[in-house]
Amino acid sequence: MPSFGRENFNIPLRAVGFAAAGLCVISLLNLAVFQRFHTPFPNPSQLRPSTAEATQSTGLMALGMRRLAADLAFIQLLMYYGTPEADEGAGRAESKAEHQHEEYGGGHYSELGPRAQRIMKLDPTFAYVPLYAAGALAFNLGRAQEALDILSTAARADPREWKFRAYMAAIGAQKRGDAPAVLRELGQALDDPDCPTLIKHIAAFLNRSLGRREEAIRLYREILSSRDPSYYETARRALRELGAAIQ
Amino acid sequence: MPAYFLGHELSTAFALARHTFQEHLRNRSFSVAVLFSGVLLYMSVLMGVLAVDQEVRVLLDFGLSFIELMAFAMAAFGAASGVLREMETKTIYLILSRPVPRAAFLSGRCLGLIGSTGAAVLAMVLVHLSLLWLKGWPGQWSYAAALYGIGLKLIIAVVVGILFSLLSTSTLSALTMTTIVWTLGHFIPEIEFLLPRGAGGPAAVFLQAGAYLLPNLQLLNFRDRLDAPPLAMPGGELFWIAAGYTLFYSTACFGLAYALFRKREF
Amino acid sequence: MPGDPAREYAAKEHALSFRDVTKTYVRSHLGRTSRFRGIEHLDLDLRPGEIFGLLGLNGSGKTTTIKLALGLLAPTSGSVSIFGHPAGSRSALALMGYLPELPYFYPYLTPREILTFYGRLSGMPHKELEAKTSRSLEKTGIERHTDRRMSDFSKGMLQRVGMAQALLHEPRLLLLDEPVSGLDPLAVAEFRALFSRLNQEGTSLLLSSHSISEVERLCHRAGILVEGRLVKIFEQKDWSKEPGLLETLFVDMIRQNGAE
Repeated sequence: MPSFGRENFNIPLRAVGFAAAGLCVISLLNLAVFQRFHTPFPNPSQLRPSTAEATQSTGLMALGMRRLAADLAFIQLLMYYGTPEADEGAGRAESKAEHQHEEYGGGHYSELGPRAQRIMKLDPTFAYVPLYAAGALAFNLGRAQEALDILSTAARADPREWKFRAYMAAIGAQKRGDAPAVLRELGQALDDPDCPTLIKHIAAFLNRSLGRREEAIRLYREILSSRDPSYYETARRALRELGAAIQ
Repeated sequence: MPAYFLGHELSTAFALARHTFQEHLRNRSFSVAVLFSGVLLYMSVLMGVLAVDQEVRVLLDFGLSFIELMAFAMAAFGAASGVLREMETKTIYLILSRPVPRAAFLSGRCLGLIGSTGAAVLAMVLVHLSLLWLKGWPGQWSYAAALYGIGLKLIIAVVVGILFSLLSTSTLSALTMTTIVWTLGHFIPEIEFLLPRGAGGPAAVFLQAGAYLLPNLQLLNFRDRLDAPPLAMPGGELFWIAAGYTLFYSTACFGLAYALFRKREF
Repeated sequence: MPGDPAREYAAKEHALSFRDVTKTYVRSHLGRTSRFRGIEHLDLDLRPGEIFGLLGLNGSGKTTTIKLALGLLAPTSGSVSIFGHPAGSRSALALMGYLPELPYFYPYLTPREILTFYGRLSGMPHKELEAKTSRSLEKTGIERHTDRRMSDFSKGMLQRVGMAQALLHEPRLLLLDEPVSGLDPLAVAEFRALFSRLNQEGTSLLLSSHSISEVERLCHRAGILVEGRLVKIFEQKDWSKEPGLLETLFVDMIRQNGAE
């Protein structure tokens, strides 16, 4: 039988034929899959990450860890937003660090919106991110339009998610200065497991300012049982002021 | 083929699978990998704390990703080094000097590696689930789908690793090639996306060939689509497509490996 | 001559038969190919019940010859058969036992586990595997170390385990590559007695060795390989006249054929 040898490695032509058949099977299989399966997410080249994020995101996506890339970017977003900005005056630094809802426009955090948008492209199913970012932008930083843009993008990616529309309506009410409407529009979203503590904090304050004491107390207690410790002190103080037990 | 021959093929394959399973589990680097995975899983707890409200999601994602990464490392290393080590230590002489069909040798090694890696995954999953449970995770069916996808990917990794171990002369090069294929396999949708937009030329031909020959691991990447709407719990169409794809792809690669191994001299 | 019925029939009668076997190693490196003759035109028949010694310097082709018989190497030309079955076929392998030079075993296993593993590979039914494992361990004198890990074993004990796995399935032909290499005198004597006993029970043996004295004591015939060629086969009567004669014959043959 004809063969060619290479360091004791005689490969009969039959084996070559066998190998060629194997490669054909693989090619046909992939062709069939190309026609039927498409990833639901944007491709990496469509993501436009920042230079700093490019290596991290691309590296993780190369290992098929898109969600992980989104999670890391989210942690970095939290760290970004949780870090006082150095270019604001010393007197406002403390309030900015806490991002008190009472002080709209506290800090600029120009990257907050773009970072959130990039996370949403990495993982369009990461519903928490647009809710959190929109809440911070609209209720803390006074950038309602940017918040609405984020929620619009999120709603386009996942039209079935009703919370995005609820938040958009709430932001619209906030722009009109209609606090009861804000609470009405947020409504059930406040009880959702994905509701950011930041939003609950805002809702608790609005309820308190409207004299809805019981509702405010409920929300502050929920904040104390949440995983975000940055609002614990504020919630405890508020409960003390409301004359409620801290449970 | 006579029934008794097939019986002998299967029995020797299972004997080799059992042996490979034990060999892999007793390997010191395997134990280190499992321990290291435990460390990584606990690290994911720390990462979860940083994510505050999304602690459970981050713990879920980090944990599953580390499990897959460690399992891939074990599978790829075991596949890339196993046959080569047998050849270097000449233990393969004592196996092939017995009436062991070469196909049975390869399939036994594949099955043993898949089994031992699966056992490692199971151990890591138990730790991961206990951590998630402690953090109040309510559970979701897509977790099982994610593990299913990880299992399918590992099957491909083992077979591809064994194929490269027969093509190359060193464990390092086989491991490197396997890792490259693993990485590129997750980029298949990107390659598909770029091809029509490219300028053509040799690079396009190369990319096209890669797209046709590399395993489409994104198809099996249920871990990354835990909350994606099309992902159904096992029983959906994608479940069967993924299983069929893995079966055919790994069989084709196994056939290639067998073609290389059947007349290999020692 | 290939196709000659008489020779074909004769091949079936032989425990091991090489018919004009040549093995050429081809090495390719950076586009350059080199060829090296491992074995050249080897014609050798091992009679059933015979102990045949294969002598030669390092690199003369002894191990190549054994690997050709096992089917681990394929001949470039010619044919190899074991009791009439093609070398490397399942039937041939089932009839052979092999002890490699410096056998290596998985260090974490015990002799019993190793023999059980190899017994399964030989297709031995589970019921008889345990009995044959014990018998094999007894024959080779390691029954007291059955459950110790291989990593604790000395070289001599490893060699005994190697012998045990070769005998496990009661082969009709044993291929032994340097079986007494590195053994102490007592172990050598025990191995010699074992080989004699096996031969009396009907097992054929092909013994490749540097130890000319062992070949002299054990073998019915001895072949001398020089640079891949079987230059001479001596019968026992040729060296039994006086002790040490085989060594003299061997050295003379090597010098005559210009190997040094």
